[in-house]
Amino acid sequence: MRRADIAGGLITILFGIFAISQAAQIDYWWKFGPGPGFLPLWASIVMVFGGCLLLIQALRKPKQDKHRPKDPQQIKRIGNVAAVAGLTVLTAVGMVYLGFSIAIFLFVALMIHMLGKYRWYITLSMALFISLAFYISFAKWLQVPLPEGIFGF
Amino acid sequence: MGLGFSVALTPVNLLFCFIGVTLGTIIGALPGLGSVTGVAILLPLTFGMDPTTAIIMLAGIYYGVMYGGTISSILLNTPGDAAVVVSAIEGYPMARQGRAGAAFSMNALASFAGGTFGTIMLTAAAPAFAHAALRFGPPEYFSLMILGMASLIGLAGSNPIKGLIMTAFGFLLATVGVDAGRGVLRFTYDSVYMMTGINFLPVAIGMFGMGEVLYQMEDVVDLDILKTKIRLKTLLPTMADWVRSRMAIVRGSIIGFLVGVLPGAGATIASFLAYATEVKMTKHPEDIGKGAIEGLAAPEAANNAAAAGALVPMMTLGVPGSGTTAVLLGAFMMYGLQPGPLLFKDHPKLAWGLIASMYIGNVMLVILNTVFIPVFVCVLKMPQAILMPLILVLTVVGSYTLGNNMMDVGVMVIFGVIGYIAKKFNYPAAPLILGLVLGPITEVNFVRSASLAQGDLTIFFTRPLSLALLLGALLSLVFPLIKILFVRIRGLRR
Repeated sequence: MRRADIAGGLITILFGIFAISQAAQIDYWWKFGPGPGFLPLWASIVMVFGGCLLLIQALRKPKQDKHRPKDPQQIKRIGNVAAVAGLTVLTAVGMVYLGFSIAIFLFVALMIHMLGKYRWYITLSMALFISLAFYISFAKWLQVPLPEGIFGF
Repeated sequence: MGLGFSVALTPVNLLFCFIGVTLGTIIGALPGLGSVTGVAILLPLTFGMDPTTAIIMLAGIYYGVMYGGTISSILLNTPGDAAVVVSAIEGYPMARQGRAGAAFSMNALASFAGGTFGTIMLTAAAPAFAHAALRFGPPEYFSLMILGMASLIGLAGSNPIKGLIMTAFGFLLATVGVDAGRGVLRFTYDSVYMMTGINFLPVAIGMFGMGEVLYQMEDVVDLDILKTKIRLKTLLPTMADWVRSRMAIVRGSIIGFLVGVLPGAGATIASFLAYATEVKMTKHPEDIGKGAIEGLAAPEAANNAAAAGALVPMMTLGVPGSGTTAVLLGAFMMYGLQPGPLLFKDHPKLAWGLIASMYIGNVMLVILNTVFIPVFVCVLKMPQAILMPLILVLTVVGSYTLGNNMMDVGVMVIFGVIGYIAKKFNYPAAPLILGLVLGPITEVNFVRSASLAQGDLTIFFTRPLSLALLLGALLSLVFPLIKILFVRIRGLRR
């Protein structure tokens, strides 16, 4: 955690400095009061300040035992997370072309398959049920427009 | 009031009140459709109805959404509305511990208490409160926002420095887009989407909903082990839970109503302030963030009391107290009713009928929610393999329905990843959301105050109410340190 906090502090400071540079380009003070750049600038300064505090706090913590066993699952974990995040992004993009229903159906089917080892017909029927339920409740009943793809629904 | 109840208890009005609260609860439970959207979507259903009935139904929807929004916060960590973001902080850990039943019951009862308290205050003293609220000017609003943010930063149990960073980040995000006070573009980088600013809802749905799912995805193999751990221990809160929560409910109701009365400050700020107060006052600080039931009771009482409070300025002054009441105001005017001081005089049946139906609506909601708790909890029994994709679909749909814009979904995903990282490394998400939500109001009032004072920034300290609020903020930041000091002094004495 110590190393993570040091990294976090540094990232915060860097981001804050970037934000300061951007905010400084906007007017700081207008005739009768603060200009648009006032609060962004101060918010960025507070971020940098916070980042420094975090860094100092992290550096003052005792160093972790170097012989602590590394977590072998670490890469697998991040891999799982990245896969799910990536799949979600793909689905969102796919929704534009395939339409809401198909994209969601594929997404749910893939995810259920990935997470639970069910028989293929259970997976597909669950996915079908869920995507239909969403379609009916949002698009038909609530009349909330959902993306329609090249298939028209 | 007798007139009011005679109006509210007619079969037609009772029926539509019931329909309103039920629809409201369902809409509120769907993440992404908040109270503003819910009331707006269902408004057309009331066309052609008698105005009194229509208004009663709309108010029922308004209330129902407050109750229902908590459902998805507790079960899925996906708040549907700003007002219930805080409920997820304690409610979701409770659900993971098998105490979802207790969480729901407490939600129903605290909301009932808060709503009834708010309605009673509305009945008794609406005009008086409206007058007092008028004394709140821009400097007071600004200081109130500072108080809200300061309270949340000093939360026990999480690193205040990280809280500060997240609040500042949220504030910074809030400045993206067209500056409300002055019409200047900030941080838009030539993108039309950025000009509309970063809406808090995709951020909240992403950080809480998708972030949580991503966090769970780390250990796909262990998902079923998790399932067996979540057993329903009890459907009702225990005696100990009640003892802890009763003062929380009282405090939450009072704070909620008072904040709700202020025009422009609604259930969201009320819930955050109530939660922050509860964190300071709790006798069990070690439970904060891990399922402290009083941390759920206080904001729940507050947001329902605030819903009632928001009607005070709307009905007595014609000034909406929150986004949802703004839509209600539109509905009033659509029916040819002019809210304001004359409303009670010209349309007593409608005005009192509305208030009476709020009492009834509260009762209906508490019964509805309590009866359906087993149904809600069944959701938790769903295998994680199905629940997780379901939540993800909800997050995508919820953020899309905001503005029919895929960019909102993009924002949601980005903040989903940020939320995952934040969760993994212990950065609290709530301060970021608070900064994002309160940022614009804070800034607008800051600029207005400065304009009022012709650039003299001491105005925040020379106006007594504003000074009091700022001192409150300072106290809030310093309070944890004082507590530690006390403990040390006591230790030294022995």
